Amino acid sequence: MNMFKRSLLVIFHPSEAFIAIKKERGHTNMRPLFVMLFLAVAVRVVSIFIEHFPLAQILPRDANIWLEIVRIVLPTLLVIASCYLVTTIMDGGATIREMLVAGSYCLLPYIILCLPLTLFSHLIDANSVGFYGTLHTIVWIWVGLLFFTSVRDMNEYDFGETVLILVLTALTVAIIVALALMFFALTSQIFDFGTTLLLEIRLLLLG
Amino acid sequence: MKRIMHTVLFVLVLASMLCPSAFAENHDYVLDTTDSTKRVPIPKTYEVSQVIYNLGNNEFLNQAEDIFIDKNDYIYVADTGANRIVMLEPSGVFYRDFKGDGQINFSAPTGVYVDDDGDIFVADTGNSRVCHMTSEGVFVEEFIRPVSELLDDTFTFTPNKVFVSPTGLLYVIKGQNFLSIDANNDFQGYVGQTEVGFDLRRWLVRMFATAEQKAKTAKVLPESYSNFVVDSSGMIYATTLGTSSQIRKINSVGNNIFPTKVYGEPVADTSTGLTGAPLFVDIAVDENGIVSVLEQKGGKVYQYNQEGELLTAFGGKGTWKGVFDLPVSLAQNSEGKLYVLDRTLNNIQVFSPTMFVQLIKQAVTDYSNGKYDETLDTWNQVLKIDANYTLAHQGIGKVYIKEMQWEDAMQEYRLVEDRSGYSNAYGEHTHDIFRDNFTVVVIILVLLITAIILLYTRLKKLADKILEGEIKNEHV
Repeated sequence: MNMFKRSLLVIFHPSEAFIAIKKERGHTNMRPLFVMLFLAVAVRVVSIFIEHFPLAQILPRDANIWLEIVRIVLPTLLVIASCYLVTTIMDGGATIREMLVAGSYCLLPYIILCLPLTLFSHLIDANSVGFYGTLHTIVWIWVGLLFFTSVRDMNEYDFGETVLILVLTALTVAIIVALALMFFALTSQIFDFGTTLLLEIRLLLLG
Repeated sequence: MKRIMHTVLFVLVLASMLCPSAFAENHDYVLDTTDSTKRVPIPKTYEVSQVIYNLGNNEFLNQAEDIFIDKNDYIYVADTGANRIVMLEPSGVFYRDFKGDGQINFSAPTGVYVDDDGDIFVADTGNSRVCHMTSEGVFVEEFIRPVSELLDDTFTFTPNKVFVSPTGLLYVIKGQNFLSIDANNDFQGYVGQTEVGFDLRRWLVRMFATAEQKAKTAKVLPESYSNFVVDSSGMIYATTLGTSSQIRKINSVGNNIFPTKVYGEPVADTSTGLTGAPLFVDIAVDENGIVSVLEQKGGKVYQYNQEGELLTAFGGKGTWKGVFDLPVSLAQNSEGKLYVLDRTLNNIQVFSPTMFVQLIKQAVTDYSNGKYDETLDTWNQVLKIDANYTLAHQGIGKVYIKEMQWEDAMQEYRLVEDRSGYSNAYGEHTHDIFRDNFTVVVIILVLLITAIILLYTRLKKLADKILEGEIKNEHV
């Protein structure tokens, strides 16, 4: 089943779409992951440029392409990886490749609706910024619901178990982020130490 | 080895480029509209035209605390350390001084006010009184602690700054309000009480805390006034020691009608290095309503219009021309020159307005008087000098909105990235378009909705077919 057909199925019949991903076990096609992430970033970049000025949180000249890429790619991969770690120890039924592909399909509502929303922003002014924000929140809630469905259907959990899994996923994400921050702080200390040491050596040599 | 040295060198060079460049301290500036910590430099608005230090006759100031300029541009200084009031000619030359009112000598006078007849009112703080004498120094009357059953016994009268309103009432700052005394030294009431405001956390704590716990929590006091002037219409312009709404315009009912926002900018304390709230110590208002305030911690003078928009900020800390060591008082003469009194340097610096700031002030005044064509011309002249001056573009945008030229207004606001102004103009613009082309808009809307519904049903049918195909494949 090609990507377009599967995307359509994810929008209208999500449960069946995710179960169908497991059918390709052993030769899971990883292309959707890269395509969806690329599309999400592309849609975000285009929306920064065409968003209506009064509602724009960030202006094109202040925007940083690397920041936008990391803003989309990093949370997605982090959440999917943490979810995989939790499901493996809680009787999960999906491999990491399947989870990555399913997770990337969950970004579809954002990819499809972001541009129409941005075009819609041209019709409203700054007074309706709350309404516009709510529409964005609804899109992200849809993405979250899709993720919930993917976890439930690929691992054959019931509702309560899925909620538990997601809570544990959130915890894992928090732990990973905390560890990463600590790592960053400590390495930057080592880096500072290194540069100071070199400076001292240089001053020593040059008298 | 060579590779390691190269990478190390490269990294060190990169690190050295991270050092930020210093902002030229002696540049006049305004604050960026979106990011109020960013300073946007503007052409010079006020230049030091004179520094009054040696008053002539071998006279010098000594820890002076207040400066006042009467309607003839004579300068009166409350020379606190020398217990006298010094009177200078408009050129800054010593004219005469007043050591007392003929009977009692002044003791640490910290405030002086001169009315239109030339009568001098001295806030004789050391003697706990306000002394009223003629322009020759002849005693007229004194105002001491008013006796009233409305004031309790612990009430102390230590007048610091004094002003007489056009209605003849004497105003003195008493903590969080102004004490008014009439000509008979009778207490006429408090004006302009500041309020603490509502804070949800504080209210909840107060509701649930026991009496002991409440006694241990810090008392929240409303902010006190630091200085004030009364303009010709009787409005009190005052500065408070709070953290927001530090400039107030109090009307006859006692309400603050100046825009409530945070004025000034956070200032780094030179001794501790910590950033804190600004400290406003004096205020001056000209006949067009342009408010100048003196901020002591950073040594800055800020000028605002009646809408609370910053026109210019200048000054700084230092001991050379154009900056101050400990500025304590600010006054404006009839030509618009600003006089700043420095207590530790014992000098008065006279700032003359440049053409640039005079154009700005004229544009602001013309707009508030409704002369829109003149406003446009003046703002365009301002833009010829500084094309980046944000207030000019916003001013032109406002005029365009008043004249209902929405697209021109939108363009002006877009230039300075003023989202709310742009949004106002845009809202009216789209309203006009929708009103003029109502049928076309409705037709487009109907077409759009049908297109969306059609797309949805088509795609759903396609998805259902794919699902059937999937189920068939499963059963195969």
